[in-house]
Amino acid sequence: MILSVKDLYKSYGKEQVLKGITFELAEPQIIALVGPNGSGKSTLLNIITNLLPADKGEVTVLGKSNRDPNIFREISFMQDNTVLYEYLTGYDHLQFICDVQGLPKKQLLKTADRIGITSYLNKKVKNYSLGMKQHLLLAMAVVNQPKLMILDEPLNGLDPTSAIKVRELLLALREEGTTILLSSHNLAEIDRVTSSILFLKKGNLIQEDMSAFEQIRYQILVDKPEEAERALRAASIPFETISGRLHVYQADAALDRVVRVFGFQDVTIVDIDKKVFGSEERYRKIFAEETKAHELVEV
Amino acid sequence: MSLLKFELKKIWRQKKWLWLLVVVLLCAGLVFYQNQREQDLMAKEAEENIFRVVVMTDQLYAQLRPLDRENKLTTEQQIQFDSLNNMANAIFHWKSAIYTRDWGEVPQQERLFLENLERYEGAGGVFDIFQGLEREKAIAKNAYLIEHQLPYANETYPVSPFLQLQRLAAILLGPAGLLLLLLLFGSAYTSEKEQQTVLTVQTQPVLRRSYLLSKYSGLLGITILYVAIVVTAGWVVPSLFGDTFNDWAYPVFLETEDAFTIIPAWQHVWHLALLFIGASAFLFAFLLVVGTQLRSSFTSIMLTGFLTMSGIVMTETLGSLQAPWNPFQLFRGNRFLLEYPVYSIWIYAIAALLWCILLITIAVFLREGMKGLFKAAEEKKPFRKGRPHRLLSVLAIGVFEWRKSKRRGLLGQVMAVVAMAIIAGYVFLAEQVKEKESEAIGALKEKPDSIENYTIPSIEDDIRNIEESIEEANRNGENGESIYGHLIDVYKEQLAAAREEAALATIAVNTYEQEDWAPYYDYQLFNDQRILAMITEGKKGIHIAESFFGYDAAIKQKEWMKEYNIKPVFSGTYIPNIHDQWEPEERKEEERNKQANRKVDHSGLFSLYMVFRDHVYVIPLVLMLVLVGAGFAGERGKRPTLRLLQTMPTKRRSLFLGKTLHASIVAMGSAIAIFLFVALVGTVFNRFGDWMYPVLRYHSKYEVQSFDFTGNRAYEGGYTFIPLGEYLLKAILLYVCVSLFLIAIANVIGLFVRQPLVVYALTGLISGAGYLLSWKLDDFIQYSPFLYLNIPKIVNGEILALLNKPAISVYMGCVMLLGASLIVLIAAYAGLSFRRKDVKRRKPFVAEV
Repeated sequence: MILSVKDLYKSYGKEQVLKGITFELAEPQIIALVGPNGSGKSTLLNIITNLLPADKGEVTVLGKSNRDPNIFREISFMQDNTVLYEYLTGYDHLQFICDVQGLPKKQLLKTADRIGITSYLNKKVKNYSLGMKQHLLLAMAVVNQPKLMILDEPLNGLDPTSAIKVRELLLALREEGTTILLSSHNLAEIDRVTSSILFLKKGNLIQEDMSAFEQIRYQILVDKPEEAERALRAASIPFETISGRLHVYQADAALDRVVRVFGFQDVTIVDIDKKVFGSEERYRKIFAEETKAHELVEV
Repeated sequence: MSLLKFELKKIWRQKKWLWLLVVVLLCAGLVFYQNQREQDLMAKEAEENIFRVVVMTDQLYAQLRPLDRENKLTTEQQIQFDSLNNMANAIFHWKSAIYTRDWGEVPQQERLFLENLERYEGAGGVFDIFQGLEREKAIAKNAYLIEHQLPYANETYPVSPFLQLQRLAAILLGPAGLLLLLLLFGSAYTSEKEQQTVLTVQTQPVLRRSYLLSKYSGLLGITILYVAIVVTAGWVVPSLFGDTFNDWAYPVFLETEDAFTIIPAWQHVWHLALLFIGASAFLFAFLLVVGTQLRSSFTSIMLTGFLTMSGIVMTETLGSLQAPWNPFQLFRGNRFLLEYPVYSIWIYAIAALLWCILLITIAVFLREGMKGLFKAAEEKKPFRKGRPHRLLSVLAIGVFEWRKSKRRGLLGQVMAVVAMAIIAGYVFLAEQVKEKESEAIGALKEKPDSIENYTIPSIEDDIRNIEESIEEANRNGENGESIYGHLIDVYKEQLAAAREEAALATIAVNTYEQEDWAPYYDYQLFNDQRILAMITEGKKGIHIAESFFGYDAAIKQKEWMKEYNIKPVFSGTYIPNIHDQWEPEERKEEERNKQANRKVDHSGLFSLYMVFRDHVYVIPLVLMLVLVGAGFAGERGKRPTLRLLQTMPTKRRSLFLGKTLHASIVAMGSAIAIFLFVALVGTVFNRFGDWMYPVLRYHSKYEVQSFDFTGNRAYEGGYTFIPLGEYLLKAILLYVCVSLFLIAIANVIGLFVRQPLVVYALTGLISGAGYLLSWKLDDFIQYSPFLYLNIPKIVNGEILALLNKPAISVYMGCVMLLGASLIVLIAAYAGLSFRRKDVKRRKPFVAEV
C-alpha cells in the first residue's frame, strides 16, 4: 500500500474541516485532490505529511506511520513557495536535500537539468519569478526520486509552456512508477493528467473515476432549428437547446445518426462543435451550491 | 488619502505601536521609581546649595555683633547689621522650610534673604560670594517662582509631572527614541519590497509619488503618536503616583557662560518634541531615499543608521557644523536646547522641513533600485564546489544553518558594525586615558613646586608661630615647652614628610618619561601609607566611608605593579570595594569616589578587561542572541520555512539540535572574534598590555579564616590579586558558558513561541528574573546558573565574598551553566521525541451525510 488514510478528523476551533476522511492508494497513479478554497485540501496534505496533527485518524505511507520522518526518503511534498529561503540559491536548497538524503551531486545536476532550472540555479531565490520558484520546488520534490509525490498546487504561476512541461513530467514520473497526489484548481489540466479525482466537500471525500463520467457533447447550429428539433424528437434522441444551438450527448446518439436524421428533414448543419466534459462537469454537479453562488456573485 | 488610510491601517494592524507603548511606560516607570527613591536627598541638596551663603552671613553677622553690643555701629553699619539680621532670620526660616519639606515657603524666604542682601550691599556691605551671574540667576528664578506661585522643586531627581516629563523627554525624545523608531518602523518600505506586497499597490491606479508620500506620512504619523505617548506617559505616571504639584510653568534655565534666560518647563518639552519630530522626519525621509535603492530592510536600516551616526559625530566634533541648516543638528536637541538660544526653534523646524522636501523629492525622482546597489542578482558559487555532504542529520542541519547565515550576510554586517563601534569606542577611550594621564602627571609635576612654595613655608610659619608662643609663654612664667612643645614635633614630622614627598615626586616625574615606573610607585606608596595611617587614626572617632580594605589593597596592588614594573593606570589611588560603608545619603559622594578611582587604559588587554568590568559584554551577548537565538521561531511567521525542513527525513529533535549547535558555535565564535578584535585594536593603536596587571579578587570569610589562606587579610576581609591575563581567560570562559546557556534557553523558548521578538524578550525576562531570584536561594545559591550571568562579579569573587560562599567560582559557574544548558536541551530533546506520538484525543464528530 502506497498511501492509506483512515478516518481522519480535523477541526479548527468549532469548525470541522475533515470529517472522517478515508482513502487508499494501492498502485502507481496520479490522483487529484479537488475542492473549493477553504475546503481543507492543504490541511489534508499537511496531515498526511505530518506537518499538522490530526484530531483523530491514521495515516500510513508505504507501510510506515506518517510520524516516522524517514518516510521522506521515499516521498516528497511540494509546498507553496513561502517555504523557500529567499536569501539562498536554488542550488543551496537542492544541496541541502542531497546532504540530508545522502544523494550524489550527479543526481542533483540531473534533476536540475530535467526540470530546466540549471540556468538560474546559482541565483538567490529572491530574484526568482513565481514560475522559477515553482520549478525549483518541483525539482526539490523530484530530486530524491520518491515513490510518492504530494504536490500542493504544482501548476500555480506557470506559463502555458511550463505547464505543458510539468504535465509531461508528471506523466513520465507516473510511467516510472511514482504515485502522485496533487491538489489543484486547474480542472482542465487535471483532466489531461488523470481521471482519478478526490473531491473534498464539507469535510467529506468523494472519490470518483472520471473515465465513467467523461462525456462528449456536440453543439450543433442548423439552418432550420424547428425542423431539426422535430426530427430529433421523432427519432427519440434527447437534446437541449441552449442559445440557439442544439446540444446532443454522444452517449445518447452517435454523430452519424444525428446527421442522418437531419438529412431526412433537409436540415443543413451550419456549424458543429465537439466538447469533452469530465471533471469540470462533475465538479459543477458535486459543488452545485458553491458554483451557483459563485455565478450569482459574478452576475 | 485612501493610501494614507491604508498605511495607517497597516501600522495599526501590525501592532508595533504596542511595543512603543510598553517601552515608553517602562521608561517612565523606571525614571519615576529612580527619582522617587532619591527624594530623601532633596533636603540635603537644598541645604548644601545654601551652605556657603549661610556661613558667609554668619561670619558677617559675627563681625558686626560686637560693635552692636557696644553700640558703636555707624548708621550704615546699623543698616548692614539689620539687613544681616534679617538675612539670618530668613535663612533660619528657609532651613526650617527645608527640614519640614514646606517647599512652597522656600521661595518666600529666599526672596526675603535676597531683598535684605540687596539692602545690605546698598549700605556699603560686601558679600564676597554669590556674585555676578549666579546671583542674577537666583534673583530671576526667585522672582519667577513667586510670580507664578510655584514651590521649590527637586530638579535633580524630579517627581513632578513636567519636570519628570522633561527628564523622560531628554531620553526618549533624543537619539534613543529615534533608534527605537528606526528599528521598529524602519522596514516599513523595504519590507514591502522584500515580501512583494508592494505589487498590490503598484497594480492599482496609484502614482509612485503618492505611494511614497503616503508611506512617509504614515511614518510621520507614528512619530507623532510616539511623541504623544511619551508626553502622556511622562505626565500621567508622576501625576498618579507622585506627591506633586502643577509644574507646567516651572522655570528652566537656558544658559551659556555669560547669559541666561528662563522658559517654562512646558516650552522646553515642546522644543524637545518639535526637534524630535524634525529629526525623525529627516531620518525617515533619508531612510526612504536609501530604501528606494535597496531591497533588504536590514541593510537599509544599518546604512541609514550608520550614515546618520557619522553625521551626528561630525556635527558633535566640528563646532562650525552646529548650525540650523545642518540636519544632524536636529539630533543634538537635548544638548543645545538648554543653552542660551542663538536661533529661534522655528528656524530648525523650517530647516528640517526643507530637508525633508528635498529628500522626498529625491526619493520620488530616483529610479527604484529593485535589484539593489549591491548586486543582489549576481550568481553565487555553490558551497563545497556543489558536492553534497554525507553527515549525520544533526550536523547536516548545522551546516545548512551556517550556509544560511553566510548567504544572508547579517552576521557579517553586524560584525562590521560592531567593529566600527569598537574603533569609535576605542578612540573615545584613548582620549579619556590621555586626559586622565595628563591630569595625573600634571598634578605630579606641580607637586614639588607646590610643596616647596606653599606647604613647606606654611609649616615653617606654623613652627615659627609655635616657637613664638613658647617664648611668650616662657616670658609669662609658664612652661612653654610642655604646653606647645609636642606641636613642634608634629609639625617637624609634617615638614620632613613634605620634603620627602617633594623629593619622591621630583624623582617620579623625571623617571616617568623614561618609563621607569618604580619611583612613581614609591611616591604613591609613600602617600598611601600616610593616608592609611591617618584613616586608621581618624576611623576611631568618626564615620569614614572608605574602608581599610580599599587602602590596604591599593598599597598591595602598587607593590605588585612595582615588582613587575607595570605601567601605571590612571586615575585614583584608592580601590573602591564592597567593604566601603557609604550611607544612603552619601550616594553622590560614593559615585564621585568611584569615578575618581575608575582606572582606564587603552592597551589591548586592559581594553578587553574594561569590556567585562563595565558589563559591555552584554552587547555582543544580546546581538548574538538576536542573530542566531530565535530557533524555530525565526522560521515561522510570514515565511514558514520550517515546513520545508519538516519534510526532510530528519527528526524534529535533530532539527532542534542542529539549529542549537549552529547558534552556539556562531555565538561563541563571534564573541571570541569580537574580544580578539578589541585586544587587537588596543595592541595596534597602543600596546598589548600587561598580562600581570593585578586585578583585585575578593575571598569569602570562610576562606580568610582558614589557616591555609595565603592571600592578604585586611580589617574587613581577605583578598588576593590575579593577573589580568588570568582574569580575562576566566571571564571569556564564563562568557562562552553564559552564551551557550542563553542560546539553549532561547532555542527552547523558540519551540513554543512564534515571534522571534517574543523569544528575545522572554529570554531576557527569564534571565533577569532568574538572576534576582537566585539571591533568594540562600544555601543553594551556588547551584543557580543565573547567578553566573554577572561575569565580572563572579570572576573577581565579589558575589562569593558578599554571600560568603566559597563554592561560587568561575569553574562552578561553568559546570552549572553547561549542566543547566544540557538539562534544558535534553528536556527539549526528550519532549520533541515524545511529542505527537498520539494524536489529540477528541470526541469524534459524526458527520451528517
